[in-house]
This record gives sequence, structure tokens and C-alpha cells, in this order.
Amino acid sequence: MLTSPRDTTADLVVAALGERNAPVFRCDTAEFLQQLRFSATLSAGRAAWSGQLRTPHHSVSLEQIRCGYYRRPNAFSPAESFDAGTRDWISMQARLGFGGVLAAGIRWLNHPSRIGYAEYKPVQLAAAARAELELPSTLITNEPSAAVRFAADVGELVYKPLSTPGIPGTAVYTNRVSAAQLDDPTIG
Amino acid sequence: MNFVCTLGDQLPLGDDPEDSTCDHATPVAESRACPFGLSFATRFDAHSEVDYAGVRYDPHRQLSQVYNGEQWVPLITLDSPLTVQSTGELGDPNYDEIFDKN
Repeated sequence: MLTSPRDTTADLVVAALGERNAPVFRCDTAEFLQQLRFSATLSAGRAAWSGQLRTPHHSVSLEQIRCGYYRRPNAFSPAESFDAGTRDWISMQARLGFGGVLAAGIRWLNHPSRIGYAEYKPVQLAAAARAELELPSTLITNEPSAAVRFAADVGELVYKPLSTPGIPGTAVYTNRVSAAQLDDPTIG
Repeated sequence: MNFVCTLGDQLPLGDDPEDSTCDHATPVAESRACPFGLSFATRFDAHSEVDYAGVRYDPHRQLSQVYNGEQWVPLITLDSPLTVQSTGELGDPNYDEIFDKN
């Protein structure tokens, strides 16, 4: 179970699995460079990675894992003593190494790559269209003139971001976009 | 500090992000530009911080716990009441919106 220590939904999953006597190993990617130890080997003649994950309190071998549950883990967290570039490098190596081994040989609920893919709003809209759901006409562009043409075609517009803004204390709700805003020279 | 850009701070769409002068840590009055979408950003009027002082993660049980005044107990359990009301306006709430395991 790859999740934050403060995820109460994951707590419920731990409890439910406990009721079924299913052993659980819970960890967070943020612990990877601190308390979570990991080694994996791909030996000649073997088709899968073998290895072990260990925290100070629990351990699990890769061969034992029947299902990985991916639930909003925190980012890798290199020590603050490193400079930003070094921290980025460490995080990338951790993601590709640790994340790569887990991605390679575990049945996931859901596979992290599929979760990432599903985060794309254009993918969501295309899936909805394939399911024959009724969708509003949608434009994604970095060309102001395209926005103006689109507004002329469809009339009243709303803007919504493709993800949450990630700026503490603020939100970008779905907003009407007026013609005056489209005419704003700072957009065009 | 004001982290929200005004309409006049908007960055022309299509600009090279490497050339962006938007700095979200800069007060509005000092900022020069920010992306179009962030011109719609609003600050929360009020929000409450979660108080984690009485909550801890038990690495043995792999669960969050809360101190009830006498002992540490699971923060949430399978028989904890979950969603007990619906804010839906389209007829009766669905079963899963009102399901209370108690």
C-alpha cells in the first residue's frame, strides 16, 4: 500500500484487509529516502524482479505482493541539506528505480501510470465522448485568436483549469469568461 | 501578501514560459504578469487547519490514531459513521450518500 500516513481512506482499507487476515505492508514514497529500505534484483534466467521492502516495523518481499494499492502517496523527499538540483536528481533516480521496479511486476489498484493518464482532462473528455455522454464544446489553446473564434461560434464561455492550481490558500473555480476578457490585449 | 493576480497582470497566452515574469510569491502590486487562468484565482475566505496535535500514525498497526483522553484509538474504523447527509438537489439521495454504518 503506497500512501500517505495521514490518509484515512487508506486506514479503512488497512482495517478491512485486517478483518480478512490479509497481511498489509504500508509505506509512503516520502519515506523512501528516510526509513523505507529497498533492494531488488533481476537475476539471469528470471523473469521478474525479486527483493524486499522494509520499514523499521514491517517488511515484505516483492514475491509476496499480490496487489499494490496506490493512494495519493507523498513525493520523494530528499534531505533538505542538498541543493535543489541534487534533490531533483535524487527524486528522479528514486522514481525511476523504486517506482520502476514496483511498476514492473505488481498488479496495481490502480496502476500508477493509468492513474496519471486518467488525470489528463482531455483524456477524460475523450472517454466521456466515446461513452456518448453529452459534452459542451471545449477548446484548449494557447492562441488567443482561437479563443475569440471559439467564443464567436459557441457564445457564452466558461473557463476551468486543467488541474488544481497548487497555490496555497487559493482556488480557481469554473468561471464565466466575458467578451471583454477575451478582448484584453494582455491575452491577445 | 497577495498571491492572486489581477486581470491586468495576465500573461499573453502563448508566451514562452521560460520568459515568464510571473512570480506567485510576489504581491499583486509588484507582479507584472501571470497565466490567464490564474487571473480567476480567488482566495479562500476562511479555512480551518486540521489539528494534528492529537493524531499520530502508529507504524506497527499502520493506522492513524487519535487520543481520546485515556488512550490512543484508531482515528477511523469500519463502523465509523461516514457520509450521513446529502447535498444533492435531484430527488432523494442515493443509498451510498446516506449510508450510515452505525
